[in-house]
Amino acid sequence: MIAFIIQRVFQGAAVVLAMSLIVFVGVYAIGDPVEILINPDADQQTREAVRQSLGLDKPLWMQYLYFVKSALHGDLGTSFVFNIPAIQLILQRLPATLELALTATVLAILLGIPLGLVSGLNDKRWYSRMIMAGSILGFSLPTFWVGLILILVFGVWLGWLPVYGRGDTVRFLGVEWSIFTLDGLRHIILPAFNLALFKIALFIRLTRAGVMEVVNQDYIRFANAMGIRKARLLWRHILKNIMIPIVTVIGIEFGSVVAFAVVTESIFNWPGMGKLIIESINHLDRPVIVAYLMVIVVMFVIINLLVDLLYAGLDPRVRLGSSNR
Amino acid sequence: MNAMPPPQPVLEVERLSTVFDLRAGTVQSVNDVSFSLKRGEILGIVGESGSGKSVTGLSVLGLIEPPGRIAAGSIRLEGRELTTLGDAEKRKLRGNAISMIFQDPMTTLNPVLSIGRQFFEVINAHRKVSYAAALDEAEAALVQVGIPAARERLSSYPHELSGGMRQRVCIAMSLINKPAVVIADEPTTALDVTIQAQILNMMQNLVRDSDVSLIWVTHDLSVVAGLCDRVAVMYAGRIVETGPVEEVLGNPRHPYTRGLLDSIPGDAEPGRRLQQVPGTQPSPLDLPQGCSFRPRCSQARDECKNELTSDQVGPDYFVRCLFKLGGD
Repeated sequence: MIAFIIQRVFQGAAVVLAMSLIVFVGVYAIGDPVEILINPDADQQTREAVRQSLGLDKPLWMQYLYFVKSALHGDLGTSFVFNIPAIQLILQRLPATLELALTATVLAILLGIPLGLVSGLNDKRWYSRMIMAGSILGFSLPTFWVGLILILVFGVWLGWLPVYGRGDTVRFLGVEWSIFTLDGLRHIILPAFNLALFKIALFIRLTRAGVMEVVNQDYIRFANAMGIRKARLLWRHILKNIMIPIVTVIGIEFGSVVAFAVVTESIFNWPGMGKLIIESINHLDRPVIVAYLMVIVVMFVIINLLVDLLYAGLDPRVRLGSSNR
Repeated sequence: MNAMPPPQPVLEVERLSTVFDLRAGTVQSVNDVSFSLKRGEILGIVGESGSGKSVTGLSVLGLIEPPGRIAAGSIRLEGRELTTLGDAEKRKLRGNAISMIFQDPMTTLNPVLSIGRQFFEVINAHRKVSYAAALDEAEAALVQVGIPAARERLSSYPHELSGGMRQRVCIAMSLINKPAVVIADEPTTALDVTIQAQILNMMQNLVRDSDVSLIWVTHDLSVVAGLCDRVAVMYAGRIVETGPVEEVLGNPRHPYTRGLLDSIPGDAEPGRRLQQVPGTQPSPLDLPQGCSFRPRCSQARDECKNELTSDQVGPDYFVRCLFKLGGD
């Protein structure tokens, strides 16, 4: 177990290193930030001075080595635009995105898995067909369009829910959270639902497919022949068998919501990382882009490790170890 | 002259018909099947795949699900009619008064629950017990089916046990709530011959000790010969011959039973062609008129197209054939 975790940490470090190189080169390729940062009327001398002060006059490989060296000391660079450490900028925005992603994921689990169970157990009933039809909508409607419709219906026509920003926040563990205030909760409902919609559809399909496969297994027929109650059969005998693919997808989906909530955050003006990264790309604020992507890579590595650990807890046949990786 | 009154049978199945309503038509999987089972008796149900033997077992357990249904007949367990019970009452009986052992032990246990947990589930479905008390009970049951280090096995998972072990676990589980009737659906077919012999031997002891009645569904006549008290031979959904094992297997009256017995390679001279019953079972959607075995029967005559009845030819001995080979 310990050996497994250590091994995974090294694997993760290798992934982070490879990603940093790709990201660095990629960001270098998309343009010269100096052109955007300074007044277009500035003369060549000023440009050179700015370029030098930002370290952009050095060759790429030197810039990269310098970045790696500082990164190892916990310094991911300083934002060109705000002139504060990039990592600080990101961590300021992280809670907003985190709570949005968490709410959306929980919503997706609470709605998607039960609906999937219901439609998998009674797959010929009319309500199962309805659920499946709904999940097709969830898959195929574009997020931005659903977001706009949600704003139109619940914000403009009905006026039930706020559609802009985070609302009241409260300080907890040194950062501002809105899920711990009533007003904040009212603010998070629409963007979280918007983000969750695709995931609900995904979990419905995944759960349904799992249930339909497991229900016909001999051990479920045996449990049934032993008189196990229906509810018990479902929650303990069936659900535990289909959790592995679901946990995997929950992990991946949570990560991708944190990383790519851009559209929803823009539409609902949610001050999270997604908005930050869009602005940074517009300004070619390289250190922020690079630092952001590094944070995301590390997050995915951690999520994958947690998912693997959960596997071992869910399925006794899974052995964590180095044997045949 | 005071003869003992015959003991009340534990299970009485009378004129049971189980059908499946498929798009292609209605399939008569079990057709007018009657048998009864005394306490401590072992009844073998023999037949080819698709003869309706498994469906008979599932019908008794109340596990026939749509598109299948019990179309007619009655099933009485200790005098209580089962076919009219609701789902909740049927559940209370399953695993409790009637229980079942499945064919393939490799797939019958839940792979993600420990053996102890699965015992607890089966006990707890019918009696309020603490987890610890359930484990004690399970341990005793595992000892009874000859599993060494029973306590440790309770924390094992199915994949850590061999096939024979798993089948012993399944048997212990099906017996844990002291059922009156156990239906075993080819429980040794998937096992090695040596393990099979051990399990059969063990089952005989268990039946003798616990007075449970057993229905052993199989296609293997040699198992029936060694294990059962009575046998029912099924063909195309019907019982064609039923009686005491020695009589039925020693002197079969129905041409199909005779054919089955002749098909056992054991008695054949080495190098000679093996006997077989010519042809295949009729499609259940298109059963021949009269005797369903008629198209494959060497004795068949025109009268066989008429409706047949099951005729008594001895005590507890019935044959559904016009000719009734052997005997008188």
